[in-house]
Amino acid sequence: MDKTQSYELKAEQLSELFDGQSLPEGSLSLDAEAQRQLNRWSLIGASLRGELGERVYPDFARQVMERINEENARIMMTDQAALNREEHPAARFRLKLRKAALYVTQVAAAAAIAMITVFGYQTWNAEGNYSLSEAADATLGPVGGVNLASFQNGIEQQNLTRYEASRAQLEQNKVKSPVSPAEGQDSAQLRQLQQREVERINQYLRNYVSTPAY
Amino acid sequence: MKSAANAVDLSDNELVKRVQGGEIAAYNVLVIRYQHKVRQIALKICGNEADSGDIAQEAFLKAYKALGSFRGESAFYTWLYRITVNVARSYLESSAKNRNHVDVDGEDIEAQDIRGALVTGDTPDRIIESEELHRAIFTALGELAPELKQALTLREVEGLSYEEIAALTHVPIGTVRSRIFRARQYIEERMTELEV
Repeated sequence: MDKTQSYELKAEQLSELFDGQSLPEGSLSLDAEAQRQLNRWSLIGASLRGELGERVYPDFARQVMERINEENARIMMTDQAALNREEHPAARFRLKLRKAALYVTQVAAAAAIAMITVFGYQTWNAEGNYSLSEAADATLGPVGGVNLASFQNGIEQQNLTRYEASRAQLEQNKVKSPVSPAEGQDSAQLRQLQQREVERINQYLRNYVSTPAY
Repeated sequence: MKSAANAVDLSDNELVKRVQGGEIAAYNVLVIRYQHKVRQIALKICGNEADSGDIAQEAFLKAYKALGSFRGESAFYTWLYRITVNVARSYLESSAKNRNHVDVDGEDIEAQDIRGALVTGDTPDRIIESEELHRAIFTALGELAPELKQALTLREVEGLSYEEIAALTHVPIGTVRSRIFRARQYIEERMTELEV
């Protein structure tokens, strides 16, 4: 079947549809050419029956359908808006959820700002007594468990004094308490090791202090 | 045997069901089928060609909106006829009121011609003199083969169904269908010269 035959079969079915003799299966669809054709056949019938007025308006049906389509679009938009506003529980829930999420975000942001402010204020106060050079020294960090920078500040000197005092106290205690010969030998070796270690550290510290880091 | 009137009524009701199901194209068929009848009713009531177009348009729109409540207890055309009469009467009443209160400064004044007749904004794109069209159609009908002319006349003027025409002319229904279509096609070709 070529294109022309196919078209004629379609048009013949359209003619049958126009006469109310049959309706196509499935949904009905009319393209512009089919509408024009139905319109002309309608004019033929009306003319033969003497139903035409003085003037004929061939675009009348098209204009009616345009108005209906406009009306449908307007109704659809109104219905959709009403659906979103009132009838759709899921949409309403989503709206509430969005509002709650916005509120939580605002509270969290405010809390974060407050925390930063308080923490910053405390930090500022805590460091308020230090001079600029002290602040720079603080970045040096401890060496072998001793804060090297503190030697420049004189703080470690106090610690060393306290260390010497506690060592003297220890010596006194050792003299007072009796020990076995083996234990005495071990502790003597241990003391020597400790002494050497302390001397090594002190030597290191003295060298370190004599060449200050900038 | 299925009569033509019954066939059309059944077809109308089927089309209405389809419109109720959301097929707007089905309403397009109904509008095309009844546009001239509805305009004639409106013209008889208001006596004005331009107003009859507005009334007919309003009637089809109102019928479409009310179609959800149409239960098929009467024929679709009977129902549409009542709507058209009501719209035409309302139109006449509101026109009578408006004629007594014409606001010369209002925007509506632009919608009236020099004789005071209402002119709608959506003037139809094309207007054809009916006499000219009528002549072209009848000339083409006279040129048709007798069997085609007979089939079309029995269908359009006498309102017979395909079955009734087939029984009357002793030909199969398929032949009737084909003859009616060929007759329409021939006249249609003559009509295109009038740019319809």
